[in-house]
Amino acid sequence: MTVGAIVFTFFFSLLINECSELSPWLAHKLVRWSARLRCDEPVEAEALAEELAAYIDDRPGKLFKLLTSLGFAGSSLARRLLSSRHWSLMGRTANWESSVEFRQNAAFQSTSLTADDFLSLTDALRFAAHAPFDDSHSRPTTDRNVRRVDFGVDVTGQASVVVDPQARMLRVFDVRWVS
Amino acid sequence: MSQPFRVTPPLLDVLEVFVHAHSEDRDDLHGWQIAKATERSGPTIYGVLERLLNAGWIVGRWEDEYPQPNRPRRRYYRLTPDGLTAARQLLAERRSHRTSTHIAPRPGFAFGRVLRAALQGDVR
Repeated sequence: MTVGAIVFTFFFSLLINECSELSPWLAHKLVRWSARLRCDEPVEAEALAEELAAYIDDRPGKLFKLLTSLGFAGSSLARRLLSSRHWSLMGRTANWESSVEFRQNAAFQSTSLTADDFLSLTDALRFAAHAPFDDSHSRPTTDRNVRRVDFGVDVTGQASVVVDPQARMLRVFDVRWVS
Repeated sequence: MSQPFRVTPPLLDVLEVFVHAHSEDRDDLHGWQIAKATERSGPTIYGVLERLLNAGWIVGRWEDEYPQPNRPRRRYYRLTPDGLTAARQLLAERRSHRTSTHIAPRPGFAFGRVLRAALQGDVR
């Protein structure tokens, strides 16, 4: 074995050792970053970062910790990029009329709201859809693509909607009400 | 109870694990336990947990005390009473053909699972 090979082997093994020691540290940095990407509120992001760090610590293997944290970071980044384009992997995007119709059916199936309640609920959504950035129909949230719609008279509740006035699209999600 | 989320195979897997844990009086589960039981990735598990939390099917609580200095606290999840009823109903509708709560291995990636199990066995 030549001197060069010995020196290479020595430094290469040193490098591998350093990398494996750095992996858990880097994994914690990555999950903290992915938590910040996922949550807009700093307190929520801090809580999620701690939870993901505990998950990483539970995972055996230094290299696996790093790979898992890369998975979290990739997932959060993809989610952030997709949501900025008015798409969501978990929600549904639809023409606003069909979306309201969908929620009407869902409400009929789960609670016994009166016809007036439904009119109130769907009217609130329709007004918000016609004038998406009018604060009298919906309120802005921390996400500039998401506005919150409050229901009227006999129905106490709220819905979150994503609006795109140019495409006349409205995605309704997280509709909650109390009759 | 409302079901304001898409029902996907990972979601059903997670619900099966929760229902199975409840039947064994081990209600509280943390993320890594669920990931191990379902053989799903962490990001997938946390996506499902977020949906279930938003729907009110599960609740989370932090570990009471720091287990060790400089170690982050785990967050434990359990089904709510309404969530348990809804989960059982959903599983009965979607997975009634299964005779037990054992989660069938997914096709493919068998080598990965064997390798992972071997590595975990070495480490733990």
